Amino acid sequence: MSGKIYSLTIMSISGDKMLGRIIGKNSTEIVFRYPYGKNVKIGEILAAEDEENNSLFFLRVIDLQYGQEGSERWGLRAAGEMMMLDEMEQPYSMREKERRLFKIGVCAPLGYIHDGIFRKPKAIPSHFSKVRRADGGDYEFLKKDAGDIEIGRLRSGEREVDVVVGLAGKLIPYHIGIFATTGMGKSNLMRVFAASVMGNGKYGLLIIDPHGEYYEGGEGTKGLKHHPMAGSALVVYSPHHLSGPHNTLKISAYEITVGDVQNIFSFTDAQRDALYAMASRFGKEWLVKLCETESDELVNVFSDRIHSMTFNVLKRRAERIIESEIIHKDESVAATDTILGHLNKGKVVLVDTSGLYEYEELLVGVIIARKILTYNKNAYRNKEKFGKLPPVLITMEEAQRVLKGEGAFAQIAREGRKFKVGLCAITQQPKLVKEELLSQFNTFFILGLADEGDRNMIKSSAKQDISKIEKEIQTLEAGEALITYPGAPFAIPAKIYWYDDYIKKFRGTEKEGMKVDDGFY
Amino acid sequence: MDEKTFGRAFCYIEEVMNRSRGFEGEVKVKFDNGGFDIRLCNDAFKKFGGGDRAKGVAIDGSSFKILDGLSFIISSRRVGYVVADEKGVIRKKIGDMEIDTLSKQGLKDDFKEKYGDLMDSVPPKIPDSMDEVNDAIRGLEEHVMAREAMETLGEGDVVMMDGSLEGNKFLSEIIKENCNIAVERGLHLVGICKRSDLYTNKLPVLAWVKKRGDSIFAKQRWYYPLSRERRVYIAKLHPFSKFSFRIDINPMEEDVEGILNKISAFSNDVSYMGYPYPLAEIHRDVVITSEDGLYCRKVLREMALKSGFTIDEWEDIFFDYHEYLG
Repeated sequence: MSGKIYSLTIMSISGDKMLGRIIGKNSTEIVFRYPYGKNVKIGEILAAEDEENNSLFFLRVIDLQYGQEGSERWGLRAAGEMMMLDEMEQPYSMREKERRLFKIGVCAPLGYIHDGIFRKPKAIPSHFSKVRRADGGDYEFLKKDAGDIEIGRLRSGEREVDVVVGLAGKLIPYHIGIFATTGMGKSNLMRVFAASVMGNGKYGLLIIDPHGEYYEGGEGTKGLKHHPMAGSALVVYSPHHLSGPHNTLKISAYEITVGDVQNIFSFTDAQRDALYAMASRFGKEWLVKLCETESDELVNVFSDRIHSMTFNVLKRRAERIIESEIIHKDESVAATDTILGHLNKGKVVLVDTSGLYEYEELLVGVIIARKILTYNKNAYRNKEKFGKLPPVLITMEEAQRVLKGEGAFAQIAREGRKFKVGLCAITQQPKLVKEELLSQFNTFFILGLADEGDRNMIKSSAKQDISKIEKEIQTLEAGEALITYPGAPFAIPAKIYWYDDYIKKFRGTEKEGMKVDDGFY
Repeated sequence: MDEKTFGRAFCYIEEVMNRSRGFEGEVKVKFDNGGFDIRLCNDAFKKFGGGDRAKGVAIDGSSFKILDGLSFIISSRRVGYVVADEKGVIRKKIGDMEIDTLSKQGLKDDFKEKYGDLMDSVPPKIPDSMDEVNDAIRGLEEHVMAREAMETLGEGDVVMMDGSLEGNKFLSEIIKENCNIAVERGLHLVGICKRSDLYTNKLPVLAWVKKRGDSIFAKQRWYYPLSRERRVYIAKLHPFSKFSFRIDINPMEEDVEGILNKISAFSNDVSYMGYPYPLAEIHRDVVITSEDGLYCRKVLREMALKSGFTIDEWEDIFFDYHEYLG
């Protein structure tokens, strides 16, 4: 973060604006004293005005403590007297409370502006520097990195600051992790993210929705179909009927690879060998052949090199796939190519997999994800063609299911950035994600994690030091988030827009509505 | 140390404690400038109801020896007052920290001069040691400040000094004058002692009175006249306080209970239950802490070094081997 000149106004602060004064500590922790009657919240961003060095320091409150004039014994004694008088039901008072008592804020330094440039916290503010709440004008340096996918406003503690916060689309291929326990607002965040992507039309966004919560919206909340630009920027696929325009989700059995099924079922070495033998022998027909050919016949085909028991197991699994309502044995019936086309036109593609079995939902995700990566990999050889492709983000709910080991999603996590394919992993349990894969994720949206193991995993993988803000993570409320990504000056606290309100800004930008199954079959 | 060494010390303690247990009778209480005979007995205790409204001023000071050059000392002093009522502090005046030099050789002249500056008269007695002079000057400054504060008060208000009114031979004149001024203005001048060494004939008087008072008037306010003539009392200002204090009242006052009621109206703050909170406030405001003293010492040493003196020269004068021993 250097190069841009930000104006710096050191104000003479007093009265209501002033919170307190710095009393000391070190380069990783700054402590200030503030009055008993003032309220500061964990996570608030404060400004310390170093008039001696003409610098403005930004501090994030990470802890709050009690303070009192005089010895600790005074407090102990006063509390004891109160308790005794309470017991005796006697009245009492405490005068000069404001002078006797105070509070201490412990802060992590975020950085400072000096000579108009925002710098990392390599210096400390002068002793007794005045501390105040940072306001809109102080955050000028953040606007440069606000990004074109806006998701909310800057948050300071519980206060919203009038500074837009978002993500640069160029970060999409570097993967996004959304970590939240239930009820912290990840569905709203995803809807807002999708709404923003729909608004700018520069990126492809694939949302696989196993809970059917994005299209219609939830109870009392709106869904993606209510976005004023849904007609032109949203394409929906579903295996079942939806209340608005949508396409039927069908996948051809001929586009399923051995690799795909390994993402959803576990196989022994012998079974895996048999699968590859089938694929080698029958090519893209391997799955249909496995279903339709008797085990004994297959044993003969492979000259008794594969046991009939192995084929029996594989056939049962193949039949489960083929019998799925979303699988079609007609090679020409496949939604995946059109999905790919929409994504490459910068649209949001919502694949509603609610009501499907988990293996079906995973299979859909795996096949589409693999196809996107393969397409972009092939396009990569042609610079002109590749240059025209927009970054595509694949969203996966309960991502710990597909990021435990190897597979299509692991491959995207490792290679996707090169081919403009990003993964958006949504999970409540980041600790179950393979650490090496999590380290590939450059952007984190942290919306509150109750489990310490999950927080530790996030801490070790985040691209900003968030070790000091554990308390803030623990105290995040629904709709509040911390965003980390390389290049951000610090972990950015955000209040995510409320989707229903956010989409109002797109009114008047409506385009022609989507035609059902347009371009399909 | 053998058992005999402890035994001798314990014998004395045992005697004092036994005497305190069931004592009742005549004792002689001594002050610096005389004393008085009193008969300690249960009958003299009186309870009082306490008040809920009062206004007044609390005056206190602090002193600290910054440097000890054996033949001279550099000392600091600060005095101040707070005006308050039963609800809270109304205003304050905290004086600047004064730094003075007192030398053994010129001690008497120094005191006379200071006394003359403040009182425009000759002191009745002159302290013998530099520390005593420093304390006496601080006491003088407190009473001078009390005069200033009294000008801002109205009839019926209380003037609370930190410390006794009786028994200070160096301040007797100014205390007397202030008592007169207070009466003229309708103000109630009192001295409240955080500690009192009233002690006689192997009997700690304050401890005796407190124990008796609490057993006779449990969970009530009470007072005990040590000397009605001199208006020296011991009083418990809050029914649930663990402490009682020696309170000297202007000898020209008649309504002792009325004054104690007013002081008790200041004494119900849980932070200092049973002690007038304005006195606690001013104590905290004027106190010169050891940190303040060390800072002053550092400034003076830096000035010496900047003036071309060496550390050795400085230590030749001020080094105390106790500091080295730790």
